[in-house]
Amino acid sequence: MKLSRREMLKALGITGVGLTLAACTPAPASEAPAASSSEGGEAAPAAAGTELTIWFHWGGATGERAQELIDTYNSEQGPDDGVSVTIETVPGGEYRQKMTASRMAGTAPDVYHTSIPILELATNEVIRELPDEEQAYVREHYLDSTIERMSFQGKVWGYPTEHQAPALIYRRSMLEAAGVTEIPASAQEIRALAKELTHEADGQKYYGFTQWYDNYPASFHFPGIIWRFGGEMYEFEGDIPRKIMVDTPECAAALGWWRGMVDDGSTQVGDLGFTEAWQQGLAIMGEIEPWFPFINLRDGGAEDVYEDLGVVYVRPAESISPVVQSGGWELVAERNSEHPAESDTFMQWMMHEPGMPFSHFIVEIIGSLPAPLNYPTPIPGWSEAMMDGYAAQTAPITRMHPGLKVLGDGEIGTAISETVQAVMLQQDDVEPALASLQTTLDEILERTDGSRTA
Amino acid sequence: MSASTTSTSTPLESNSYKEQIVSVKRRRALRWFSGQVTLWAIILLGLLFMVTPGIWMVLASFKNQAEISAIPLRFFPEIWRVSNYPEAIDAMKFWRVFGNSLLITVTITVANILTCTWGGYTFGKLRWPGRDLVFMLLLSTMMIPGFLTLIPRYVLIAKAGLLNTYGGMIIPFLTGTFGIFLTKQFMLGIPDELIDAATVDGCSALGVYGRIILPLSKPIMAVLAIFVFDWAWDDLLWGIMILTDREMWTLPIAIANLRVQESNQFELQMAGSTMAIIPVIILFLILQRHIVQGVALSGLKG
Amino acid sequence: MATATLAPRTGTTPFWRRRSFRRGLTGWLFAAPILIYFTIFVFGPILASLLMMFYDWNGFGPLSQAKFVGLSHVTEAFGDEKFLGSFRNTATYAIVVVLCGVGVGLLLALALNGVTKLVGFVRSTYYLPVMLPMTAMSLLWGLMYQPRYGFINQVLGMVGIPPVKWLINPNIALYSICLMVIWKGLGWYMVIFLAGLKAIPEEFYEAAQMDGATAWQRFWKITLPLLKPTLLFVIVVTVIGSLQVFSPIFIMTQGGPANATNVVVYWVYLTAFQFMRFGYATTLAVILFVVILVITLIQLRLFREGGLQSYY
Repeated sequence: MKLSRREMLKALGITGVGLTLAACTPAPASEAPAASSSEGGEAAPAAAGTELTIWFHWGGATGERAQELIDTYNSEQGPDDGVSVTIETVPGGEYRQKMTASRMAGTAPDVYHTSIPILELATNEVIRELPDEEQAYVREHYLDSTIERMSFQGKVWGYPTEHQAPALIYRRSMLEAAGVTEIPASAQEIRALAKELTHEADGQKYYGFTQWYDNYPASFHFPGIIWRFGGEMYEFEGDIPRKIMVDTPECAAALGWWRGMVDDGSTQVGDLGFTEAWQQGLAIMGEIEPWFPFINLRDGGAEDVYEDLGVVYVRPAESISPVVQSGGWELVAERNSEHPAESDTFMQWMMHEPGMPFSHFIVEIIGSLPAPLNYPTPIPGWSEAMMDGYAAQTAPITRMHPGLKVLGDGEIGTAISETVQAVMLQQDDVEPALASLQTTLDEILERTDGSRTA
Repeated sequence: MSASTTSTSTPLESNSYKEQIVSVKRRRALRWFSGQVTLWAIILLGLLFMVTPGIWMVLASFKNQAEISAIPLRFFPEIWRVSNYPEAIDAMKFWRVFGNSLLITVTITVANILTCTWGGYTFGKLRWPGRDLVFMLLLSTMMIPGFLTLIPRYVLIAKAGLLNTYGGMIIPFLTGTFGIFLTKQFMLGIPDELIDAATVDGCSALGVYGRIILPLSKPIMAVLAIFVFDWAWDDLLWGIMILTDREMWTLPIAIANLRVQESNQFELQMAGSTMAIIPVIILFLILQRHIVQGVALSGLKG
Repeated sequence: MATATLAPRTGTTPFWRRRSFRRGLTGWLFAAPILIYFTIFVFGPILASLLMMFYDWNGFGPLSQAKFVGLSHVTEAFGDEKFLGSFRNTATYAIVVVLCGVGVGLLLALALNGVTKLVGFVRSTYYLPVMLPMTAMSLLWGLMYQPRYGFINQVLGMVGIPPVKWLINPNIALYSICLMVIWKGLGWYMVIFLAGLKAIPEEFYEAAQMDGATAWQRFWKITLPLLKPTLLFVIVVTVIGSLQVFSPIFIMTQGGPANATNVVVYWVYLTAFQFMRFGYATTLAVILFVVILVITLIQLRLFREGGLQSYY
């Protein structure tokens, strides 16, 4: 009991010291660029220049590679531009809330690398369109579907850093072992082959067709598979979605195709995650964007699987011409940045030919498809299968994901995910599920995009 | 005959009575014994249930990805990958991050011990008009999801220039409703006579706080220390919001940063988490006796 | 009481000299720093958020673009199937966690109360999960729940129990999350209850035993009433916390499968930060707040009736 006073004083002391430290610590953000540029070996010129901030979402080893990229700018080009760039790492899950908060507080970065649709960023005055000559540059040098993705009200609002399109990936050795010499020519053939390939060996089940049904890809792939069965998910009037259609025969055929493979017992649904099935070598075919085999298999310790992969675009239903949906990320400039000119210079360095170091980073480190038309081939680090069988064939048949032109896309995606999960887990049947989904989506679209005018 | 029977029967009876007592005792002992066995069986089974995930975590921190998901189950790693630890330490910048966490958490904990006992005294012992209403108002803030106020709080801290500082991590958490609630419950158990006697002796309210309340609150301080430390040590969301400079990161952020979409380094996360819980366990082991006392005193006299 | 006895003399002394006033002033002076701090860091931000309830604002545009919509968000919420469904899930979750968590915690404490050996060890071990970080544990349990190679199903398989689709079967997923949360919180309940039990004087039980009370009667007539304040505290805190469950769901299931674990706070989170409907999200949070407040007040009232006072 007698000790208490001394203890109290001690405690007070600790708090005091802590608070003093807290109050006196200058925001080290201001020191960081100097530190990183001194690592680059040229502290003096960079310190005098403008400080820019860019938001990346990568952590871990990929984050370090991204830092190397920015270090290169700070040591090679930055001193000439009088610019020094700092990365702020903002995890994907917190990206939106941090954007809201920092814009309100006036602490937003100068440049974002983001997947938030241009439509949303532009209507809410988050970003600034590219300078005229840069708009012309993008229109001339990039793939059509990616230019459309960057466009809103006739302007180009950012640089597409890559595009992501679903691919059919398959294990060449396993197809060979089953005596299959040609890739199935249609969606129906894929289903039949999946059933045929599914088997058990050494107490393990090998899945003919793996599906990522449990979150984001389930809803993201949705418009694309409807196309593959000859349907359309949206009806646009100019840039504005007027109608959403999921309670249709084409859509039922599309979702029925997915569900059919579950009923056949040829998928891993409910048994194993998509990633695990591939990493453990239990998947024979599957549909996913190409960054997946790149990072999760090649860099995730399953090089043998990666080397064995065949990659092509996913075949449509019989007598439907092939089409592949694509979405992706972009590099955009904050509207309220105090350094618009410097931001533009920096973004040009990242995206312009012939260097286009950021495109190289995304394509070679992350494994997305290149957005610039004349991206040099062969791509370092990519397997031949990924390049020839997929990259070359896919580019000409891509269409922009239509949801990117819909303000309600987030809510619509969540509703679709939920329906797809219920159907895939055999909780609900295709037709009734789509009928009730239609009602939900009608409500969402009316509320979110209903009042939009051209 | 009858006499003899009675005479012979008496020892017989007394004998069986003795036997009966013995058997009752034996049965009781047996019942006590089997009760103890069941009791310990339940407790040990419970223990197994409680520790298995923790052990699994520690074991996973020595494995690789394939072993973590092996069929059939592989409980122990084939090769103990001790190298996961230096790798995690390296990837997380462990020592820097650990230091940040320690400074922030200790300051928050000490501050809370002071402010919550102050609050507990104010709401539990002092009598003033509007007290219960104000307390209900405080209590009601526990009922609003924290992230709803994330953005206004961020703006506040950003405008004060506290982004990327220890201050930004500490100042919003100097006191807490739960801590005040807990301490108030405890204060109810401190006899009013003690306070009245001190007041008669000319002690001011401040004096009562310093001379009576604080010394008597030691057990509840231990409880507060554990709860607040554990909570602050584990807090992730606020740190992600206001700390962008890697040098300022705390342990939970550094661990979360190991998990990115591209490469799910589960074993490193487990190594990081294993190292991260050590201070909390040490604190608990030191304080656990006081905690029991603290909770006991706060619980009974509500 | 003091005020009442002093009342007759108030006519002659100025109000600032009165003892009741002084006492009140002291109280308010003591409360002032707390209230100032709370105003800045808690009440202020809450009020700022609550005002959003009456507006449509998407979080990205300038605040000046926010559109006043009156109470239309409230009417929308009461017709929102998704939101009402999330309330059902939350209620189920809260009931399971409170009943099982508190119940098993109490039983364990009772069991341990009679034990004299190894108490410290047992207590610390049970408390271990409380100290483990929630994020890492959610990931770990997600892995242990994996239907094929997950630890739990493999162990069950050894004793011949067929695999359970813990987080994948929509009828089970919510309970699987409950199990993990109960595991993590059990030590907390146990330690608090054990402490509460230790504080009940032994004489009460001895007297009851002399009167021939059975163990069951002793539990109902002595243990439970005397444990009431502890129970009240634990239950109130658990209910408030359970109705706001978020992190394990955010990490383990994201509201799925097929909406089975979509709880109110997760839905509020999605509405605010994914759908960017801040006004509506705030409205939903306010409705949840009112529900929690009412439930808490009912609990406080229920526990007060025939409460402790009669035993002292």
